[in-house]
Amino acid sequence: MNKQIKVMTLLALATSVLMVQELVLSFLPIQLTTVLLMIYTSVFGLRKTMLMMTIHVIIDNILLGSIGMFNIVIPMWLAWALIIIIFNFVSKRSSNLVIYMIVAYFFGHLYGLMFVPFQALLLNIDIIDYLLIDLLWEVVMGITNVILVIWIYEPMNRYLSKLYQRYMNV
Amino acid sequence: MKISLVTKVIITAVMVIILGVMIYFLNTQSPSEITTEEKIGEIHFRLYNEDDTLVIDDMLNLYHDDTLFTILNRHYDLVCADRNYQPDDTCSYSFINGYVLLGIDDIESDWYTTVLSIYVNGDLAVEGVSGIDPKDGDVITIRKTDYHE
Repeated sequence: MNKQIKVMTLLALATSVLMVQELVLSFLPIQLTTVLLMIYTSVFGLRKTMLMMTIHVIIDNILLGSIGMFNIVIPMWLAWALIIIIFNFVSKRSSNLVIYMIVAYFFGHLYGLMFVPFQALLLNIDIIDYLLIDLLWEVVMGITNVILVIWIYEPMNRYLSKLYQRYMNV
Repeated sequence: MKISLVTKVIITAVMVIILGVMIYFLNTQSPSEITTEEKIGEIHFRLYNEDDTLVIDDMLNLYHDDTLFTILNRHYDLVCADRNYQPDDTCSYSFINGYVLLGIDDIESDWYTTVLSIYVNGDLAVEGVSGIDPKDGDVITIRKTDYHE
């Protein structure tokens, strides 16, 4: 099979996993998005993961009706992009799970903080009030990320890496 | 560095406890029933249309445990967003951080181009209807505005 078609199929499948888990878990303050993007970065590399994340952001905002709201779409894309870039940098220098846990915790804050200037400036909301209210949600996201990295990162990374190698070599 | 299974379990248990406490404090689900025997105050509620016409100008009673959502729900026909941000006049779906208000009586936002902006004593609120706990004498204003205004 043509390698490009294989890569495109893989990207579509991996992106749909990102979307589906978010929709399925939408009733909980828990999402696998951060840990999945970390795993995808490690297995598929920076460029492919950035592409998947961009498609994910577009579809996510179309579904939620916020595609025209630049104060949501832009910080969301920037936050996920930074998370992928930072993790790509970290994972190339260390395979220490503790470091991944620490980084994953701060990704919770990074994601939330990215929205602050956009929300505060565009919606004319008090920046300190917004920061204080959002801080608790950032901690929730950070802690969730840590728990998921502890239990999911290593086994899923190993499994997906094997699967990816086998798939690309067929 | 490898982490042993015991360490993983301990870290997870600690994290889950912290998470539980956080979610408890973040829970903005409006109480299903408000006891309306003893009034604890009043709020002044104003609703403006997109052309700045005053549509509603009422004094509303405030009871213990009231949120802005429960007060409005007691007096008006509300339309909330469902999980896909589509209008739901039964307000049966509440997000983790509460209800998303799309309409009050005949004034309805389509979520895509217009929004119901909430002001508490003149300041734009940073929380939604379920997160606002009005106090006696508060002036709550809701304006239907174009999203980017």
